[in-house]
Amino acid sequence: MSRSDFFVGYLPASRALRRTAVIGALTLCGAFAALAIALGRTPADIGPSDYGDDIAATGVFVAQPYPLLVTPPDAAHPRGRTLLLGGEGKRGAQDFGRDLEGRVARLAGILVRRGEIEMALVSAADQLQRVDTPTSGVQTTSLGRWRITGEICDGKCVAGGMRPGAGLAHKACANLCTSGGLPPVLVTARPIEGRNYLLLAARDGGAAPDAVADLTAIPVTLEGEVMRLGDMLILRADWATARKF
Amino acid sequence: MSVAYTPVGWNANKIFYDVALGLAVAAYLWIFMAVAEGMAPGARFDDATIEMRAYGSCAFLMLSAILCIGPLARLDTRFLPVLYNRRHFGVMTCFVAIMHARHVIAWYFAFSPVDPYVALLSSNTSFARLAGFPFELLGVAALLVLTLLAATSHDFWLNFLTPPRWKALHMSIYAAYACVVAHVSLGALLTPQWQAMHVVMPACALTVVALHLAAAARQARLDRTATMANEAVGWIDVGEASGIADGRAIIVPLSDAESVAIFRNGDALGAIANACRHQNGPLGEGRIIDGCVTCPWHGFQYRLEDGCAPPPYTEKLATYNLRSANGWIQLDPRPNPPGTRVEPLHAPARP
Repeated sequence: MSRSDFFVGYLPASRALRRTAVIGALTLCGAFAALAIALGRTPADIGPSDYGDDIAATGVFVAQPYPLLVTPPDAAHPRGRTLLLGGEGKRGAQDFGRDLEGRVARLAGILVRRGEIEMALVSAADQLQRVDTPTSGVQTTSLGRWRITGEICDGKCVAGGMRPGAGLAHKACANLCTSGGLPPVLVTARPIEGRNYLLLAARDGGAAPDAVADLTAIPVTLEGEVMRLGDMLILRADWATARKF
Repeated sequence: MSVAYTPVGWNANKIFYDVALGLAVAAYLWIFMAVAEGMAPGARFDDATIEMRAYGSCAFLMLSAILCIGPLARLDTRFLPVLYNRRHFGVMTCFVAIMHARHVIAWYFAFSPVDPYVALLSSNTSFARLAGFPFELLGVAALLVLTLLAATSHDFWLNFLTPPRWKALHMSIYAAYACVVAHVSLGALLTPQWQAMHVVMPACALTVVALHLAAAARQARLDRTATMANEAVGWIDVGEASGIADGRAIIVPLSDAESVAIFRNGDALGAIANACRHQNGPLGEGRIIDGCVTCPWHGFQYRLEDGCAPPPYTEKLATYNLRSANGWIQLDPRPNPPGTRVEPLHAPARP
């Protein structure tokens, strides 16, 4: 009988089967190539970010709720520039400012920035040094009680540490970052007092509670007192009233 | 066929299969990364995310393709050559999935004081909600199954576990696919920007389901025939002898989920169990080559007269008795012990 239309793997294939196999292989490669083009074209849709520029600044160090540096007002920052501080990898900068609370410090770090979210990264003690300059400290101003909707992200990844650094696929990473001491931020659905994000804090002004892990990367509504520190807004949230969508 | 275990029993067809598959995978990964890295700076993902998406989506497409091969081969015998080396397809899919996991762990779960594997299992515990569910764990479950199946894909394990147990173990590929679909649905699919994946993922999953339903419907039709046969007592009329082409068979379903393949080899007819001892391949869809019944899946061979694989192979099938009555073939549905010789029924083919 003719074997031309019957395939046995360990026997030589007929010419007809070989031709079919080549067509099948080319079809498979073509289909995979077309799918690669379709699936690879997805835009991140997160806007440009910068990572790696050096930053040098001098300002007042604030330890709570998270390490911050507030520089004096200038033309570009009439209220002063408030920088989030972060450490290496998924670590906060808490280790670098233990004796600096309320004092003037000189920062020499790496800047991560996406839009108005800025974080200066420090990885060694000599990158954040005390300066013996008198200071009257910094003032926080209450803007009242607010109910705000947005997505909770970690301040480093969403600033450009990762791209996209937000969204559900990033939830576990964001939790790991915030549990490591990086500041959680609420990226708001609409601008609040001209700002698109708020630093999150506990109701008493300390670091956000561990419960923040259940709320990251999904749309949430938080209530609490909004404070202004330099050009940054801080939400001292009433975490018990947090609402998930 | 081989009585000795070798890592891979290479032949020209397997090499062609693997090279073609490797080229398709390499083309996919290269094109995906080139396209994604070429996006405008403001729309570009970071390199690690691009790579994990490339490997992850590739593994998903490969797994979907693998699951389509079985029903396609049942519905159209032209797909049988694709089934022949499906195990290599599965092993390659496992490696691509491992690369995806490696990138995820080295990016999302690294750079932290917490061990990356501890972080993977503990950093998201929102089990009570779909949005925010730790979909990574579904991927872990799927990868464990894929790895187990890849590790046990060799014929050594098939013989060690016995074909029924091996087959049952490898049916867990469907659980793995369900985990992968959930993994993608609760992770990448909830990323609104990845619109193409919103189309590709459901299309793949629906294709897999539709092909299995079509193959099941075909089997149901055969089962209905079996039900009619069951109503007969004793010998079963299976048709005219002239209805069986030389070197081919007809398949007769029986009551207990078994079926019988009745082959013609020249003027002789013989009946053996339809399920190949290797992987339950449908022998009745095979051919007689060099005097032996040859399985369409992997080419395992059996003598028609006694159901034994030719020496040095040792596999044995049950044989069945046939008789002729007024030009019709009748089958005794009671099987003989595997390897029992039965004199072929002389029934000249139609001139």
